[in-house]
Amino acid sequence: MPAMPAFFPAMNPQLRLFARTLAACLVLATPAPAAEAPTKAFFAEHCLRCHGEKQQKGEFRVDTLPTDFSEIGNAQRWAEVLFRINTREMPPKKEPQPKASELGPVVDWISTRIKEGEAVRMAKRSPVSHYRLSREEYGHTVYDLLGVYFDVDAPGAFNEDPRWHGFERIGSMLSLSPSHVDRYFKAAETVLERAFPESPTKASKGRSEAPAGSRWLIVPGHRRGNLRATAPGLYRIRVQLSAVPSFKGRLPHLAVWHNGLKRSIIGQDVQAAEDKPTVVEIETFLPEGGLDLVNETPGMLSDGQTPSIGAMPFSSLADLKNVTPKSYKLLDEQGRSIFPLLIVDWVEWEGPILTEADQKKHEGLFPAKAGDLAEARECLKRFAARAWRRPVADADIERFMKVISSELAAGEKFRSAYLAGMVGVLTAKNFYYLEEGSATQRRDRVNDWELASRLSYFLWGSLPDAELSAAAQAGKLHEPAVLRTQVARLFADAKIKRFTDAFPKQWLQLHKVGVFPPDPELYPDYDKWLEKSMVLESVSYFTEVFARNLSLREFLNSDWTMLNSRLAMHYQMPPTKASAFQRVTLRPDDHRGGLLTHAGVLMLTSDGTRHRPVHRGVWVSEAVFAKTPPPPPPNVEPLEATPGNKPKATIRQQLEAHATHANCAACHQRIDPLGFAFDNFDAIGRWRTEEVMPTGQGANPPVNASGKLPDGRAYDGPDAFKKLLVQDLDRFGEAFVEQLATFALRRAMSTDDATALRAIAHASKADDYRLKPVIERFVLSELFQKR
Amino acid sequence: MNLLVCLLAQSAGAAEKADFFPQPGQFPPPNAGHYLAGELVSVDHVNRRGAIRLVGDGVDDRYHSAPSHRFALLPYGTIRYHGAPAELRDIPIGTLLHGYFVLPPADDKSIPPPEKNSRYGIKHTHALSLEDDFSFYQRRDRAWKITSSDVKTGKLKATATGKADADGLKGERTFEIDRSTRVWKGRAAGELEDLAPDQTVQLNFTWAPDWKNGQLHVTDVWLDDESRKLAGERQRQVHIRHQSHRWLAGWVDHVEHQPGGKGIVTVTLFGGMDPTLYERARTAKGAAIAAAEPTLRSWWQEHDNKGGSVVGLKDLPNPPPGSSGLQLRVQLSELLEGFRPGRIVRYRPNGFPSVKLPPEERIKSFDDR
Repeated sequence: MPAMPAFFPAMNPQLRLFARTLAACLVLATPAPAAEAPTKAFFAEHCLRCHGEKQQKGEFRVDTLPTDFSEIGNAQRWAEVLFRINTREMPPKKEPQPKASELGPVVDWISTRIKEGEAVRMAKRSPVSHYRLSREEYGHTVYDLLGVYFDVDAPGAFNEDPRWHGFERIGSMLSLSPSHVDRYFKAAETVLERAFPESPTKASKGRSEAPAGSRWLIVPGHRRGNLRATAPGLYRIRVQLSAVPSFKGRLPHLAVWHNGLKRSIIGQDVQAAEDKPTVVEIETFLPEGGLDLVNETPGMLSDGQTPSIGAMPFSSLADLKNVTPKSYKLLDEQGRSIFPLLIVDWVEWEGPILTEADQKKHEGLFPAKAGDLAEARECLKRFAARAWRRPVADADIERFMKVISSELAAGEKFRSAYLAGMVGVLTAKNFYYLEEGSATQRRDRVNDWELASRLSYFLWGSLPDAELSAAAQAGKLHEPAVLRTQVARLFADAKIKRFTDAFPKQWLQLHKVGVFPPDPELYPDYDKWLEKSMVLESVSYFTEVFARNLSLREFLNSDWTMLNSRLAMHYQMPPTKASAFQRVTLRPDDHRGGLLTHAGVLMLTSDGTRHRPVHRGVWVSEAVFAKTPPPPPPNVEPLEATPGNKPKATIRQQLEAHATHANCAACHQRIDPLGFAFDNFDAIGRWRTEEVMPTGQGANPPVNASGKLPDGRAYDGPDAFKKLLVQDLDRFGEAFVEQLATFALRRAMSTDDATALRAIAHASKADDYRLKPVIERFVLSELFQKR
Repeated sequence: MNLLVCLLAQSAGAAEKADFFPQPGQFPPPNAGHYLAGELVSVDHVNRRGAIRLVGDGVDDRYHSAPSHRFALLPYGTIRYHGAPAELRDIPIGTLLHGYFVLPPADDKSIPPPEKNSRYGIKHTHALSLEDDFSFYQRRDRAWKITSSDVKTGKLKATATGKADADGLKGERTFEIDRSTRVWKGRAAGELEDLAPDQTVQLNFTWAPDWKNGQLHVTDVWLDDESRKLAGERQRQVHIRHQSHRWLAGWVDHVEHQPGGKGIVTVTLFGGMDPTLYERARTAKGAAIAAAEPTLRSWWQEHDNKGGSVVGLKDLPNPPPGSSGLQLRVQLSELLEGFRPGRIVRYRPNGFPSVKLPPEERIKSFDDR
């Protein structure tokens, strides 16, 4: 075994190169101290007397610890060192204690290298790399392949994919277990049965309507309609209704409720005067089962009682004047509706809708003549080539033909035997793994077929279409002109929505929105639609930047945002012109602009009761600078609520008291300023000037959103902070490209990638970091085609 | 002055008094209402309605042809019996009552108005208060001082003590007694023979054969303070039990609507209840409110109430008649249609029982109102 590079007594050339590259990378967020000098001095001063050459207390020696952090054993031993320092176990209390200014660089040095080591391990590539499809990608893929909608989120379908810093498509994270295989089998059988049913699926139509002379009054939380999806698929639902806002301006939220899943599938805010009903048309994929229309706005049945909701039969709000006194009160003393109300006349539905395009996907995949094994072979080969996203040799499908033959021999009908062969194709690793590389040939670059998949899964979350496959087949896809053309084509296709939806969610870690539901006592205005709207704001925002090809600068600061009626109300801004998401110009007093003031972003870094400045700082560090700060020591006491007999103190004041310990201060000095800048926003992202503290004495303390970045630049409030970030657009550009690459290449970026990432970002400066050129430049880069 | 003259004088006074028109959310001014006295002849205690036969005024035709005076208690109308708050169900048929009556609220159909051209019909059909003699005189610091008692002839002669006012009997009167007359002495029953001159007593009355001319029969005599306190305390306990099951009545002053159907309901409790009940309302941190009707009947109150925290309490100075002066604000997460300004509610401070009421008391539909 070759000797490991060691931290002491001298660095070998490989480590020096590593350290230099790393140091360059660290410039992103914090001007990194020269990594070696202070740490070396620190260990000499505080550690080596007991854990050095002369003495090895606890049989532990620091000076010979190898610094190849990509080896898990080394990383674990360094993590132990970090742990002892963080817990203040080391140096022992009787020894001279290091200052905060000494501790910070050491803790940072070790934790950064541990992270880097992890990234290197995650990025390691064997001759053949396997990247399992995320469940979202599986759903897109079977739809694009067969035109079949398969609800991957349905109970029992697929497990949630593990995430790494928000990304749910990292190859090294997406392992395969027997449970996965079992579910792939079930999914394949279901998908193929729907694609090639024994008897053709007919679209069904239905209509429910209120009895003549009456209308359905649907109060919040209530359902009516009795729709039915006879088979999973695309449905069109039309509803004629009036939708009356509450006296506070809150619009009713019309949603389609699935009785089996016990959740709504899709919904939207609606507004239509009682005497001017409108027709809303919803087109959505639906699982099979009974459905209802639901008014998904909060406010009713919170105490579990079910009093009458009013007049039966109902024909108009005027009827409500004559309801029994024990009914819910629906109109206030001025005759205005207390709740957002839906008043429905009728609902029609139609589906599953089989589009011509979806029908066409089946062509050539199923033998026209039962029992014709030669045709079956051709069909299966065609199917496998599409499913596996590469050319298929006869030998590749031989085993599936054997399956068909054995099924036929066992007495199965031809259709079912052939479907068994197709199931084999969809449950082969070639389908659910994206494979790159070759077992017999060392390749540093992906081939054109792999490149086609890489590109289509990056931008469409699914397999390449015929044109992209044709470019790969021609062996020209890697050519810049061809690749550029294809990128432009993928940008223009409707499927790009999958990228503009998935990437911001993963980059910004929006899956955390709502993980800690806010305490309803503290945040009574919070509801599920607001939660969804928060996520949609960031997704819509990213989509808008993409569609208009705006600069990455817009992510940091802007004078516009994307709002729907619910968020406009949440932000205390004027009502939007329509209920759906739309671009809204911001005024300075709105205190919004850029991603960082999106309610979702501000909420995902909070817990159910209060904002968390440190979490916000960590989020800014990761999302804006692509740098993960060191984790907190394991024994950190959580902040306690201010005792009732003590003056009220902001979270910041409590944190500042907490960070007076040298071990804490070292990291908090770098993290906290990134979070304090947003102290003007509460746990659900509402603007405030004082921090409401439920306990403690005296008045609520005013918010202090001022601070100083680690490089010394001061800010006073979120607007000033965002301006400082904009000044660092180059740093953000590099970080953004890193996030993009992590998403696209399905792996963590390592120091090996730093130069390429920086080059892409640097080149993007020329066109002001406009989003589409950044993406295109990345796709055309060496990095994108490198294995 | 005999009773006939007295009643005539009262009748003349009633004609001169300004009428009060009951309206939701508005208590009457002091001294509102016209005084009438009569024997309770029928009761619909669930709906707080009944009828009295007015005390005779010597007019033969009136006695024989006048209908009994039907009345309904206003929602804030009070009843006292044996010196304590009471309900109509506590008062035996045949008890002479004193009351103050006003015109019916607009659109109120609970009591048919007097027939046109009726000689004796009285349009003041809604009671602000009803009291037995015990309560009526004791509340005014008045009583009867016995002049003489003759068991054989069945006559009790007594003189009204205290400061006389326009309403009620005055001066020396002769009443009928017999062995049906209950005599209350200390904590036990006494005998007619215990009645003696110069005793100061409280009396309750009922019909006597010469009712037409103002004659009254004594049903009860309370000889001493102890007997009066005992009677009052027993009635007080009956009242407390009754009210705690049915909750305190009041009306809604204001509703502050909040998003999500929540709101703060401000309620003023009606007066006339035992002070301990108000004290419990004053100290409870939470309360439930149920919709009720002007009869004070509620709509399945133990089920269809809405509860929340008491977020405000105010003692209104110099509350008008009918008002307790106690105003409470309750934060509710849901509101009922019955929670509107002026509407009647039942208020349950935390600690009051929440039980099913007798079914005939509960309102199930508008027809039950």
